[in-house]
Amino acid sequence: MQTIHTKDDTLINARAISKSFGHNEVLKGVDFDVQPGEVHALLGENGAGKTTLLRILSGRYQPTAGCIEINGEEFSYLTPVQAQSLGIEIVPQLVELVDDLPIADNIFLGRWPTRGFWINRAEMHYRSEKVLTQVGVELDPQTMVRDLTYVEKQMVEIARINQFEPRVIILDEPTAALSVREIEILFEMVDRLRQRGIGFVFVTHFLNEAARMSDRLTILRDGVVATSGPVEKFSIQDMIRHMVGDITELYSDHSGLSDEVVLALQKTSTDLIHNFNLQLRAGEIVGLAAPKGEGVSEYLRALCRLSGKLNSGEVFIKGNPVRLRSPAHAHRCGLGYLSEDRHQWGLIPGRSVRENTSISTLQKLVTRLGLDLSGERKMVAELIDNFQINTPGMEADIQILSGGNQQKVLVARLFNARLSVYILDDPTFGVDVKSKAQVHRLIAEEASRGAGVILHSSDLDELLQMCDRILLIQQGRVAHEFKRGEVSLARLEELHAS
Amino acid sequence: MQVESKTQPGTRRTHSAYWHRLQSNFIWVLVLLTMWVAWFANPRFLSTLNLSNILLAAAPLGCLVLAESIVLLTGNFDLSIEANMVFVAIVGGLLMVTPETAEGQIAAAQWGIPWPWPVALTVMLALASLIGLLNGIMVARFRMNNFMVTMATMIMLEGLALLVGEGRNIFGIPEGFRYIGTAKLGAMPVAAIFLLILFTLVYFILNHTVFGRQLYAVGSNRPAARAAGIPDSQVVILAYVLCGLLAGVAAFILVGRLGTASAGISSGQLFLAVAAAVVGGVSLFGGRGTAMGILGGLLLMSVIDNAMNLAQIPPNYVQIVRGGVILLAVFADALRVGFGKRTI
Repeated sequence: MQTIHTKDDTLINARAISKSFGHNEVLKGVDFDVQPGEVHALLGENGAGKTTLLRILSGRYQPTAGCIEINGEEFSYLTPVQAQSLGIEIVPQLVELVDDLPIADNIFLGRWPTRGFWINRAEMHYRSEKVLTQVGVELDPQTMVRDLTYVEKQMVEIARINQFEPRVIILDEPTAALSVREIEILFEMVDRLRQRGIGFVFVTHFLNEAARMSDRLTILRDGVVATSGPVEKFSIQDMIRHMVGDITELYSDHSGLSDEVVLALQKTSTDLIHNFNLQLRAGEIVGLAAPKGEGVSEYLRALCRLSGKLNSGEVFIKGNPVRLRSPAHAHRCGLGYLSEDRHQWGLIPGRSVRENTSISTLQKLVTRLGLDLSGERKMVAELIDNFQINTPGMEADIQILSGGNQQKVLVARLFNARLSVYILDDPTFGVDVKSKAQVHRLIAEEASRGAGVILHSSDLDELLQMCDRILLIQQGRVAHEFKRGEVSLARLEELHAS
Repeated sequence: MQVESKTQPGTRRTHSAYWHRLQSNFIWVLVLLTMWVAWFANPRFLSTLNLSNILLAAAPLGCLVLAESIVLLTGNFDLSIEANMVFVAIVGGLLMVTPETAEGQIAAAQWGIPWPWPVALTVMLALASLIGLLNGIMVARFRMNNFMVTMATMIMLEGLALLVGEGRNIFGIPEGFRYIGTAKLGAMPVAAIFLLILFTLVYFILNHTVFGRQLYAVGSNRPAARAAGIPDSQVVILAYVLCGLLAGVAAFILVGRLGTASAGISSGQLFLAVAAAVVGGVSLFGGRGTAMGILGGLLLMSVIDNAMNLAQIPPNYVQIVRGGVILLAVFADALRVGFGKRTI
């Protein structure tokens, strides 16, 4: 494609974009542009309008008002086909490739080079290799996609897109599922492509990544641009302030560490974690930091018997040796678990917020005449209030809540059981900044009440903020242990990536 | 509590509350509509005799519908309910049959002195529950495929029924046993009253007990239910036990009504039961369905059958209409899922 150099080489310039769904105004006069070779971060809480803006730029939605200028031409709306032909490509949050086909077939999906009736495999492989090397990816085009890591799939997707000579590539939450090392790989690739003048829109929840990767940022709040400008002008704190307005309860402290050991693990092992020992005291929050693929999530699920089991080792809850049989048994022993994946291991879809909140504590409500339903409503109303769950009512289907509020329902469900040990696996994954701060406060409160908490998180900042101790796990063993204040974020990141 | 942002999720959908209400009671609208049409076509439809006939005929099927629904709610399937019913009917029949008849003498030769009918009934219900228990253990504990497990038990039970009953019709069921299937309180058949009591019980279990809540949770998302501390396998097993028990109750009513037990007392009721449950809004994927909906589904199927019977429509056409109704119900279900999945 010939880039036309006019005075203004803005790749895409959206002006005064508004979008309403019925009475609900999701975007109100938003301006957004992308310059050649820049990475423009788009930040905002869940529900701020990021996704809607992306869908308008990529032609999925028609704006109610405003115009989009591309290449000197003005459009009042785009269709997906138009957007693509104008060089706007989107890499979705979950890259969808055909797992059972090799890379080459995926790159040419539906446009396979043919010779008569047959697919010309030789030519396809030759051309795939070219497509891959163009973006600096060294992968054999014959590799099956199912054998790729997630970042490799993303790279294949970007390579696939790159053959259409895009002007703007939109990355929607690209790093959510990646380890620190993989994020670096992705960023290097983005760097290579921007040298050639491609502009990137980078949507993320991770503010330090936005700070590190982008040249410019725009923050949306409640459908308007809260602020926009070169990234150097903003500290992380500034970004948060613009995203959520004023919040005071960002840092949460807890107190009351006691000597009582609520959970003791002795030489516990799974396939990937070896001889893990831990003495968790009442009131203590212990953080586990580990690169993805270390098997910590699997270990935690095995520990509470959600899936799999420990290969060896002993578990003591409040000094009593226990052999846990199921999560239900663990609950009775005083150990509860919250999964990183709320859709698979958390939400009960199609049921109300009320039922989702009370499901783990129904035993408290049993009377001789069955469940005490009015007592249940009272209990749930209090929880909704305490946990600041934003819902149209307790009878609303859990699925219509935003991710952050769904997560708060799950936290409320768990903490209402008043257990002595909580195992939290990435409890703020994919949650907006405000909800995240609230979840942090709730965890700290529960620790202050005297519960022991194991917090596994991919967000190192979160661990530094919350934990009394941080265990860094590498190659299945505890490689480092830090007390609160003993380690800086930079040092932890460095160790984490090494 | 601090002020939350104005864009509440869900406020957009309040206008569809009426639509939702209509949707969830849609089955009853259909029932009334069908009754009206039936009455229009033949005024005899609304006669006391005919109405009580409908309820009486619906009673054994109703038990099977409840049985199937409870298992469907957990996201599983039970193909063995009808075979279970027939099998325990034959066993019960042989146990209590009076020795005055030819079958009675054969039975007496094999089983000794006939047992009092309440004992025989207890054995029937226990046996039916045991079959449910075995199904449940295989499905929930051994993680065997529910469809294949219950298909296998269905085939086995069919064989056992022929083996034990030797293909004969067992007459000579004691009068006391037949009370439930034959007696009337005023114009109401006892079986119909009994069925309504069963529905009330199931309603209570689903809405007012821990087990009921757990049933929905397990059916809706089993891994999540498990993580929330619900003993998921136990819930599934208990559902199968209740299912078996209800199949036993169905045998009680059916044998009482017919006054005979044989391998041929029931056929094709399994699929009618599944159909009535789905027509009544029970999802085949679990987690969705209400007692009122199930009752509506049962009545709709029964009323349609009865109305066509009254209009003397040949059975082949009845089959075709039944199939059509089921297709419509599944279509309605697909629409509902489609609406539910649509996001912003």
